[in-house]
This record gives sequence, C-alpha cells and structure tokens, in this order.
Amino acid sequence: MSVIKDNLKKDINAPDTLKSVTAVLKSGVPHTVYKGSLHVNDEGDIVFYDILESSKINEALVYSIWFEKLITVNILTEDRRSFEIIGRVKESITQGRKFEEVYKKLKQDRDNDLNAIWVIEPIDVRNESFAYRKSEQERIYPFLKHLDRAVK
Amino acid sequence: MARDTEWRKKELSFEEVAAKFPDFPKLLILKIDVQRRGVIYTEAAQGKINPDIHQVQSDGQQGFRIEQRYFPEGLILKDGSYLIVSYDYDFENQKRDPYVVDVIDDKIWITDEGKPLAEVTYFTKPDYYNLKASNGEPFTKYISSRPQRIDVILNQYCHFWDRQGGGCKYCPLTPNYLKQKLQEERNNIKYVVEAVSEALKQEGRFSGFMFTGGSILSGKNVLDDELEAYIELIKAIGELFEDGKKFPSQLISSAFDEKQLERLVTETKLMHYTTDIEVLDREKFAWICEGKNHYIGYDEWKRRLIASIDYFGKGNVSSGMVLGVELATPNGFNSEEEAYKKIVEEAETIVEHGISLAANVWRPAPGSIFQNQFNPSLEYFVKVYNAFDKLHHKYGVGRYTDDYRRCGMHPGLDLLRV
Repeated sequence: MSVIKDNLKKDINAPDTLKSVTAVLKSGVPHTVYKGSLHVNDEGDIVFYDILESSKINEALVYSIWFEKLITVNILTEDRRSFEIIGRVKESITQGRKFEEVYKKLKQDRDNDLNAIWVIEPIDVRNESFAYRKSEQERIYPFLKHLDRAVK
Repeated sequence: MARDTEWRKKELSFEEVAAKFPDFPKLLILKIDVQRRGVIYTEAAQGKINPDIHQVQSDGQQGFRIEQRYFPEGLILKDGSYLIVSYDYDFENQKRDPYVVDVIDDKIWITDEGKPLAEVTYFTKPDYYNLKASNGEPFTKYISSRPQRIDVILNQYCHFWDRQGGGCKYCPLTPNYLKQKLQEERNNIKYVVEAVSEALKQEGRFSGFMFTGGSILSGKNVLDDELEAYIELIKAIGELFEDGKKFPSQLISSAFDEKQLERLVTETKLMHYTTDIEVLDREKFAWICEGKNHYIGYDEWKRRLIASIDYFGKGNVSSGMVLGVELATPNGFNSEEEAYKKIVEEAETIVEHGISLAANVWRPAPGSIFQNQFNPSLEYFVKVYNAFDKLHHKYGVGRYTDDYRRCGMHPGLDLLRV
C-alpha cells in the first residue's frame, strides 16, 4: 500500500499544485526541477515526464537508480500547504505502448518530445507546511524559543 | 569443448566484481556479464512472450545470427536501457554457464543460480513488423528495429572475406550469409524506403537510424562502390526528412578517405559517422582483421577515423571495437594486465580527438573463426570500460549514438548517462 493517502494524492494531482523533484548528481550537487506532469498513479507511485534527454534531472535520476540514492518530491498546494515525499527511483520507461501514448499527447498538446516516463516509489511523507511544523516544534521542543516570546 | 564446471572458482563472480568496483553501476556490470556469458530462457519466461506485443527473434532476419528461435530480441531494464542478447547461442560449447531469464512472482527476472538479479521486460514489436512491401516481401527483410532505432543493413556480405583469411575472425555476419546460401547480397533500396516510410508512421517509436553492412571493396578506388551504395541509400531515406537539414542518423561503414568523406557529407543528410577500428593494437589488428589490414592498414584506418572529425564535427564521430578479442589465442596479448595497459593507452590517442569508443563485449560467436575461444574475465571488461569512461569524460565525446537506448550493445557507453 502506498504511503500517499487519498487526500494527499488529490493535492498532488491538482493542476494548481506546484511540484518539484530533487535528486543528486554524480558530482554530489543536488538538482531540482519543477514538474507540471507529476502525478500519483493508480498504484500509488509518483509519475512524471522528462521531456529533454540532455536534462540534468535525467542524469541525476539515472545516477539515483544506479546507486540506489533516494530522491525527494516537494509539493506546494494552492492554499500553501507543503509536503516532502521521499522516494526511490523505480523505473525509467523509454519505449513501449505507454511511452508512445504519452509521447503522442505531449506532441499534440505542446509540440514536445519525450525522453522518459519516470516512476518513483514513495517511501515516506513529511508535512512541511509552515503552520504544521510550527505547532509540532512548539509541542515537541518547547526549549526552542527566544525568551522574550515566553515572558508574561 | 565441454563446459568447464569449475569456471566459477577461477574468476571473480558478478557480486565480487561489483564489490571491487563500488563506483561502477552494478546494473551495468550485470549487463556486461550477460553479454559475456550469454542468456537462455526458461519455459516460463518464454511463456511471457506475447506474439502480438513482443519482438522475437523469429519475427525477422538479423545478420549476426541465423537462429530463428522464439526468444525475445532484447531485454529492457528498469533504468530504461536495453540489452541486446539476440545472438546465436552455442549450447554445447560455452565455457561458462549462461544467465537464465525466469519468471518469479509473475515478473521476469535475469537470474543466476536461481538468484534474481534484475527485473526486465521484453522489446515491443514495431507496428510495421506484420506488414509487407509492394513486392510482397515482409518489411522485416529490409529493416530491423531496436526499441528506438531503425537499422538498415544494406550489404549482407562483406568482401573482406573474398580473400582467404581476410574476414575479421570474431565476425559471424558473412559466415552466416554463406551458411544460409543467401543469394541477394544487397537489398533493393526502393523496398528499404517503403519499409522506412511505414515505420515512421509509428509516432514516438523511433529516434534514429543506423545504416551499416558488409564492406564493398570495388570501385575506381577501394571502397568507392561502398560509398556509392550508402550515398544512394541515405539520400533516398533523407528525402523523407526536412530539406536542408541533417536527420538523426548514423553510418557504420568502412574507413573512407577524405575524398569519399567529402562526398558523404555533402551529398547526404547523414548526422553521425562511425568506422570501426575493432582492435586497439596494430599487431593484433593485423592478425584479427586481416582483410582490413591488407587493404587499408591499422594506421591508415585510424588516420581516416580521426580525419572524419573535419567533416562531421567533434561529437559526431565514433568508432566501434570488439572488446576482449585482443586476448584471443594464439596471437593475442598474453595477459589481461598487458592487454589493459596497451589498449587503454591506445584508446587515449583516439578519444583525445573527441571520438567515442563504442566497445561491445566479445562473446565468441558461433560461425565465426574464433567461435571456440574463451572471452576474458568480467573484471577485465569492467576495468577497461571504467578507463574508457574516464577518457570519454576527460575529452568530451558524443553521447547519443550506440547508447543505452538507440543501441543497447555497448554497456560501457551507458556510463555517459551520468
């Protein structure tokens, strides 16, 4: 069963949600891109399309799948809730019926090519919304505050 | 020659090599070893072939094998790369046990001694495979396919074999042609174009061409007739593409001289040129590729390869080689250490010009002169590919021909993906 529950899936799949993918390059430098195509499929995996074969994210994702490096997906909803999803790169689809289906849609809609369909298995989710993290810190770490905020 | 049942004790295993080279992707080490040792399929794995979806060996001809088995033409790995394994397999005379493709929990896996190592799927069949040209012949007679590439083998016969001992000793192409008593040396370009036109209707399927074939030595100057044949072919296919622009295409031909290269680059829309040096040592080349050596010679072949940069540009020239054959007996290098040192040194004198080395794994092919030989250890292949990769990154080479998705035969070039 996927760690992504139905409510979060709805948020991720919403068209107005901002979605980014971060993976580490061979050099050790993290690389982040925004992916409008990112969505959760029926199996609960995260899927997005990489258009350009020469892209840095393509390099970073290949490096991740080869050396079993985890990647992160971050989303920011329209009402400014934010989530970080840690994932394992599961597959890069570079041919076949599914590939051609997506290719035709991208070509028709935006005259884009397609490098690969990337599939990520989510393994953990962390709520990074500011309001949520603030209340969590106050609850778990009451020591972490400037004194002037605590005076009567 | 019977299989050596003790072979596993005499060399490092896949897992041991992977542990020794932690910076080399384990999946690529497996790909190298599958090509080195070969692969067979269980009945369950063959049962996973859907003839309406998957591309199998019996769908079409392919010069590098004559077996028409109901085996997949190739395997697709989870990193989106392909593995070409559609060679003839010598079941009787293998030194090492092959890998086994099997089904575990309804999924297809490459296994060794029952251990699942990598999940795979099979190549999908292109739409044109079940169709015929206007002469009633199947299109598969004229072109073949990788998952993303159209391959055209124009000349089925290589004329280096005309002279006694002239054929490259690792190559089964012409022996297979002769064994099958084929008559038609060259395909009619009209039907090749028909096949290509049909293939191009499948949107998103193909991203490039590879043109190749056996060498043709005749003509006013050596190779002039080969040049004419390719110009005719590439011009005819080029008509299908935008005017005034090159199209994603690669020619693997004999080593043309400057006059011939000038014609090739000006008369066609070819994008990438490849001429295979095959063996990175003058003396070994002379023995293994006797015909190439007789007509052109190692130094001249190499000179022409480097000269082709002036015509196609840096990044648009590559050279194939048969990695491991330099250790063939009796005249190959005496040890893997010696071979490694010599060929890596020689490789740099080519790669420093921006030429990539598309090295495929030598697996003694049935039908070839070297068919009963043993190929080197897995560790040797990984060491050499690692060294080549360092050179490729140091000097900057083209990354997108003979690669993980257009070809699938050269696991070392997969390293250029990162």
